Amino acid sequence: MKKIIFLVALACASTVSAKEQLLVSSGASKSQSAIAIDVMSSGAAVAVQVTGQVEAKYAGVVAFGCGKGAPKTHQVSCAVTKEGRVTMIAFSGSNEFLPTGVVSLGTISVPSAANFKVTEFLASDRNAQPIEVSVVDDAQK
Amino acid sequence: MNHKSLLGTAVAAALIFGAQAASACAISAWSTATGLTAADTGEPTAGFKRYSGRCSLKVTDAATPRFVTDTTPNNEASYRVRFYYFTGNISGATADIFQARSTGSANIIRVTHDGNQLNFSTTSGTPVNITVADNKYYVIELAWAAAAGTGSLTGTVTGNSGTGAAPLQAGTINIANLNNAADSITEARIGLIAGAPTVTAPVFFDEFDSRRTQNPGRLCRGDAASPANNVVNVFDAVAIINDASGNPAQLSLLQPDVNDDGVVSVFDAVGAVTIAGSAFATCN
Repeated sequence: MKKIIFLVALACASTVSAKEQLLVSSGASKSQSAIAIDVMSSGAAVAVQVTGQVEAKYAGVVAFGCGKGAPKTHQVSCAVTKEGRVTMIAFSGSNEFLPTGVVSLGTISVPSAANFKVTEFLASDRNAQPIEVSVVDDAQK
Repeated sequence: MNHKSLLGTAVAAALIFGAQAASACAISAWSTATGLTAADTGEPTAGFKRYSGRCSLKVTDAATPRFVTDTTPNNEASYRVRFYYFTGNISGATADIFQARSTGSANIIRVTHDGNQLNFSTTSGTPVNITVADNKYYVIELAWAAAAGTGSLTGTVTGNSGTGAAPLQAGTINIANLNNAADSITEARIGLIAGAPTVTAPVFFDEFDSRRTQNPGRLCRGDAASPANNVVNVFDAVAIINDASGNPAQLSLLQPDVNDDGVVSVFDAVGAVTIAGSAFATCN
């Protein structure tokens, strides 16, 4: 019995410690930012969502390199609303785990003046439950 | 007791299809059942097409009247109702699929389906036809009021939305300026209540909700991951894929059928992703 409890506790601890890290890096010229969106994957997530915001007046000029470099197990969907809400979602049709290591979701190109900011990063486990996440946003440095 | 709670039992009865997530499906919370039993409710794993939760009500034929009745309305002069209707494939005759009736058994609100169109009528005014497709889920929302010269029946039919972000409105109902102050509602029925069409593919009903003064509103399309948060995001896509796996333990308790076809598949997950990236990601 003690062994079972120990194993369960270990499994829980493993889930809690799983942490997906969003890596946002910007290669900016004077007028244009090319923002790379990558995830440092622990291998615990099956899908991730990055939500960002640009000033609404720039919504029409946001361009994506959507899914550029993403693993073949996953498809990436990219969208921007007229209000400037930017989303990038990577998911698998069979809920495959994202591979461990750096996983590229693609790029976002916006005018520097659009002030792109990541507002939310979500990572889902196989049970549609959130995994602990963090964001390293070099574009804001 | 306020008016809403008077109808609260009706709402509870109505929500039976969606509310009994972990238990067997049943119709016992309805006031009465005619030609239907608990065996006519079930889960997707048994071929039942539900819109929300695990259960729905199936009507496979119209050989005899088959419907459930809610008798909790109490001579209501105002009545709001919402239910989800899967159109199946019926032909050859018109069936009453919803009736709200008076103490004298008059149809105060009547909704019929002839296989191609839904027809909405009340005790006066010009009935409204709305075209619907076979084998698709539609949400029917109606608001009725009795008054001298200002009575009305208004509503919307929304569904067969595909995987686009925006829900598709099939049509609206606006029967206004009615002189119907003498009308009131004491019971509501859903099913294949009257008429005897040929039912080639069964119809289904889900998520009936009736109230006196507030519109129940639509359920958040694509909000599939528990707990419900009225937001569509990546968790919902994952929950939909799990639901599509067919594992009973992984069925969504919410609304995974984004494209309203009665089947949950990866297409619904794609639809959820589309919604998540749109202005419809947050439901009202």
